[in-house]
Amino acid sequence: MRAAVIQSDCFLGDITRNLSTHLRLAKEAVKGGATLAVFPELSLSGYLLEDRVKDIALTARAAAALFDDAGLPDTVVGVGFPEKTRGAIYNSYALIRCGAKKAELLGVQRKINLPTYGMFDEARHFRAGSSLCAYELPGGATAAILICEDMWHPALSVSLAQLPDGMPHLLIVPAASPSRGYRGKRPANLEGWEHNAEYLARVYGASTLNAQRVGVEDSLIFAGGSVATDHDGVMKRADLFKEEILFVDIDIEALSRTRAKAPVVSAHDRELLRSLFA
Amino acid sequence: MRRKEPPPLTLPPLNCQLALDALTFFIRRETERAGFDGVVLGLSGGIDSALVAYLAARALGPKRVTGLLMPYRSSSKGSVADAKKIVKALGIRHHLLDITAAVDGFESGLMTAPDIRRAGRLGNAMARLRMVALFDYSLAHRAMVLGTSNKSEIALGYATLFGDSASAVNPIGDLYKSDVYALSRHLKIPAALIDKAPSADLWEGQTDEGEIGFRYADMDPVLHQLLDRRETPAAVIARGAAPELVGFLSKKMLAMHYKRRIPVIAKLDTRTFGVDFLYAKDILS
Repeated sequence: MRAAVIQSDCFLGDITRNLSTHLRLAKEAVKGGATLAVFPELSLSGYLLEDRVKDIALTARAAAALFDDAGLPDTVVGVGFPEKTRGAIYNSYALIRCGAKKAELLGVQRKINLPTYGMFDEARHFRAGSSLCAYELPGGATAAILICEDMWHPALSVSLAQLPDGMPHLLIVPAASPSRGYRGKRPANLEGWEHNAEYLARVYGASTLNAQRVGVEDSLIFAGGSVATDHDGVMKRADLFKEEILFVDIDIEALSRTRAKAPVVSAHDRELLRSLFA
Repeated sequence: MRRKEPPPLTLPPLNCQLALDALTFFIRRETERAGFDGVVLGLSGGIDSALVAYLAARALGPKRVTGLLMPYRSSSKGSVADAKKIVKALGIRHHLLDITAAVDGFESGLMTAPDIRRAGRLGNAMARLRMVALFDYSLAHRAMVLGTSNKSEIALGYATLFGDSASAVNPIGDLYKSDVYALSRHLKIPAALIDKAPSADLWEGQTDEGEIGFRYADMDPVLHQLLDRRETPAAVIARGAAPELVGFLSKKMLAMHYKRRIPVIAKLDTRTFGVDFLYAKDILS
């Protein structure tokens, strides 16, 4: 299968306008042969929502319905949005299967680790998610979603690897990481993202799709710099400061062979892990 | 065995090309999103405003950038000449607006107790009258006011409140003065502007470093440690920085914080501007 990592910009707080950007880019991805198009964290709304969160949050079903009649047959899109439930608001990410007519919600991941250090204050505006699972995509590949900060918490990837079917084939990592640290080769935050993506791919034999936001919200400059790795950790990088689509081909057979060759993760002793975590 | 000297404190060099790309992207996006046609800035003839003019011209094209040259009677003649060099090199729009008559009007009509701290007050009035001209131009010509204060000045509070500190968006406020020099060299801004002593040009012979008492080259590495790395003053002194410099900077940074805050509002009700009414400027209604 071919996946597209979409490095997109948006208008802060304007879901209608951002939807049209999503449709334009998803169509371009489909034209390039992709059947999966993943957008950044909070891609439909923008990041620095603060008090606006309450006004624009929508249910996962409503988010999926935005893609009804989208003209994207047989395509799964991954989009970030503030999710409203009966009693809470989450920083969520939906996998939506677009059809000829009605779009179908394949799954919703809620961000688990909400950063509150430095420039971040997410826990003030969102409730933290409390579960993590894998989703099956049309065609048989499996995917899990680690939203931004969640990628930096090794416990989550370790726990994914303990799923009955093992580590999902794809790790979708939508992010909105404000750039900082301009005294090195690349913005210092992006160096960290690349190391993590490569690490996850190499250790778990999973293709890692990190869709970074590009754009500016007040003082924050989202530089882009998305990365996509194959299951060996070979990396493609998107440019900085512009909209871009990265295409990556995922070969499940080859991925399985790699995992069989170096079964690092499948060799985990669950009882040992449990006692270590206790 | 002799103890090794600690490595000298230095400011790690800025990646100039990367910073240039980020700041031009920032200026372009912020101008578009705020719905302005272009930008306006005060061009003093100094390096900070020259750099902002270069960044803006790169971001938007020279025709969407306007520099206001606003000399006072006692401003050095070289300042206007240097500002004109920038205008010519970039092909940006400009207006020469002499503020002398406005300052004279302030002195004769608006100043009480004119003998108390006169020089400083006149300097503040000049900075604020320039701000008046910039924001007036902004409204008339749909141009966003770009700030030209660097991080070293902001840390020290070396600015006139509601004067040169006022702007809509400041692209260089997170660059130390040393970074401003590095980026200016990278952009090939004429060396004459880079090499001259930084000055607020409020009176003859005034220089920043003369007035502050320390050199930017010495202050910036210390500010970087205290501010960005959150090192303790003691740790910075242990690494070889002069104790009086570290003491001066660590006090000044907090003492001048009031200049970085919008007017503080007494909180009485549930949601108070500046306290818990939390929206980004770029939020769309």
